[in-house]
Amino acid sequence: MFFNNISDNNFMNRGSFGFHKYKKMKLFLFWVSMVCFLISSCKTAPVRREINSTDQIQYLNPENKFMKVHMMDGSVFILNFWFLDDGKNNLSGYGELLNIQRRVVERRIRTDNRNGIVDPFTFPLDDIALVETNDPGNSLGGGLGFTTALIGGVAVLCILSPKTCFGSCPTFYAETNDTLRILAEGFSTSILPSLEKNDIDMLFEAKYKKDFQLTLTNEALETHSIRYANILCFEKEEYQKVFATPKGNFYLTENARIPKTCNSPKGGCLEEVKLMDHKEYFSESDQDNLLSKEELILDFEIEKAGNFGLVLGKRQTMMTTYLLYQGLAYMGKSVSYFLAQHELGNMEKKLGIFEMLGGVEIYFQNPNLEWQYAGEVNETGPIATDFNMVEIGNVPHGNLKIKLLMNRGLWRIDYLSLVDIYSEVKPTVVSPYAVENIHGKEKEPFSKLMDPEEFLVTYPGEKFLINYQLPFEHAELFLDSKGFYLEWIREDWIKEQNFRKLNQMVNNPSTYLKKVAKEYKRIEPVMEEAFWNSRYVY
Amino acid sequence: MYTEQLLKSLAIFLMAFGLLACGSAVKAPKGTIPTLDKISESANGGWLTFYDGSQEISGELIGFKEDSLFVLSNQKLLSFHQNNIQNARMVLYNTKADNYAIWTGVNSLFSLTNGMLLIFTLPINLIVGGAVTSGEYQRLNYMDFPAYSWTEFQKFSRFPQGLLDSIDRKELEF
Repeated sequence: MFFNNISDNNFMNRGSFGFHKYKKMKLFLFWVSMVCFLISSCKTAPVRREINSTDQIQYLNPENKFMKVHMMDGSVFILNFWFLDDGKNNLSGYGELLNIQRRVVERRIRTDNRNGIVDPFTFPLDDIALVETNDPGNSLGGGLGFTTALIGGVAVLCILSPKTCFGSCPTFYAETNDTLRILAEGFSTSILPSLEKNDIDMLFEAKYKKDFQLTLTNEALETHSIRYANILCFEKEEYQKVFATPKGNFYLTENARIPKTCNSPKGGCLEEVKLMDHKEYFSESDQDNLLSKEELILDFEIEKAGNFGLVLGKRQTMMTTYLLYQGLAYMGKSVSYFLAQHELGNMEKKLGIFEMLGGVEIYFQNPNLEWQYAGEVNETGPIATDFNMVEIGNVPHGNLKIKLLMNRGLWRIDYLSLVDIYSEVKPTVVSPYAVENIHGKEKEPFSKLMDPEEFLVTYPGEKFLINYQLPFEHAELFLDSKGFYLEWIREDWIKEQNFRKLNQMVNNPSTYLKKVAKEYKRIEPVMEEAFWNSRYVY
Repeated sequence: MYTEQLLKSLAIFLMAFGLLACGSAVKAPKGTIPTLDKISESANGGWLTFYDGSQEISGELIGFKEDSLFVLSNQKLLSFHQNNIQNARMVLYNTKADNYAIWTGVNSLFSLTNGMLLIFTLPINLIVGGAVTSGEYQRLNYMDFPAYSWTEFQKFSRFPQGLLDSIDRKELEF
């Protein structure tokens, strides 16, 4: 069944919701504030009104939308289109005639429709006392129009994809070199008690301190049940890095080298993948079939033979999120039934839609110039960039070609490098020594987190500080968290109940991925581009 | 954490723009004068207020004739000698500051639908809305006598050509 098939996909391992760029955000707000302050502090001049005699009509600024013609008898014409008939010494125009009480007496509207031609007002220049034009200056309302459009656009995005706006999974923040950032989300695929599992996330950017602290939050409409949250600590030198393989082994590595070239179907991709800078390579999905593969080809120069591993920093696009919540939507009001059936073990396990989309497969070119399979990375979600290493093995001096095979429009690759594998290492597991309840219902969060039979249960908006005492001077840190969470199913999600589509999604995913391709394509730019751009993340 | 830091920054922005925007705009009674965007389409005079002795007079500036000015106050056409008026203020148009303040508030509430993206859209809205509202409050939508001459005032009267004899004054009161 559907949910069996997602358990291996860390599809909602969300990372920072733009929190990476807190300083940039502050700077941006500062400059917006300054501009707005200058605008708001400028005293504007009163409206400019020009009073002219009739002989100046021909010199009036044509950009004036209206001209008021004050007559000798006190009446006034407010014209929005006018012209002079020099020969007859008349002024003609379309608009309104108001009497001295300023009530509209007559209205003549210019039309382009030949059948409805209306004669303009025409009057001798001698009857005119003076003409008046106004320059009202600029309206400030445009700024608010912009913010309304911005908020409205984001609201539409949130309606289309509520999950992208309302978060999910236990969220862990840690201090980095410049600010506090969200670095991991725990057990993202564990959306039922029976799917409880542990999840290991590299705290790549965390600032190492012996007195280490994580901030745990629940930022979604979910109930989180956390069995434990331990730090896996690997002693190392400053110049070394520890990476995890998809099999769960950890290796101490050195000498990260970037590719000489990176080629994709879109062209060169070296700029996107050479640094961990949130500048990513990604492609758009295939409009005819979401199940469609693409390749990246990398060239590395091996200066000295050795044992190597390929490090990938990557996350998923919104494709899996879309598919999962589309599945929930198809279940509609019967979502509880389906989930209960899953919990009772009454669902048959089949090759699922997420397994079909697959992970990032790594191949390297052996001496016979054949592509040899090295491994596959298949986890992480749409927000947090997670890091894994795939072992390539012993490679001689010279050039090394590596191929990444992955589903189009499913992956965002931020970082690729080849590292020397130094040795396999085992972690020192560090449990918390204290948990502070900053904003939450749980009175004894520490004991709940330490008791293997209990859960620390958190609700939307809650926050806890988890404190650790780390043992080494320099170390690589990973978060090992275990638990599950329950989605609060929202009304918007159940309006699309459709068992036929659900059946197709579960039992014939290859057909479903073709049928849904166009619909996903329609919102793909909204989910990916508008969302991320508006999040000022990259 | 991040959200708290951002909210603190937001509070500072709010206070700053709250201070800027807290001044009240100079207004005339609703419906007596247009808003700025409608001023080109309105043919009424500005809203004049002054003291005649101890009595406050306010009404639409109708026009001038010789040394007198005429004000339509409560449907009565009143005339005053210009020399008897020491100070006067005429509001030319009503600003939209109150509307913008409400608009900003509604936008802020609406931004709650933006989920976590609210941390981006709400501050932008408050900053832009605060600036727009503040800017609108500070518009010079009035002119004072004697800072401005009566000649300038005449431009914004109902009859800038002057209250000519051809205009039936009695009809103005209907």
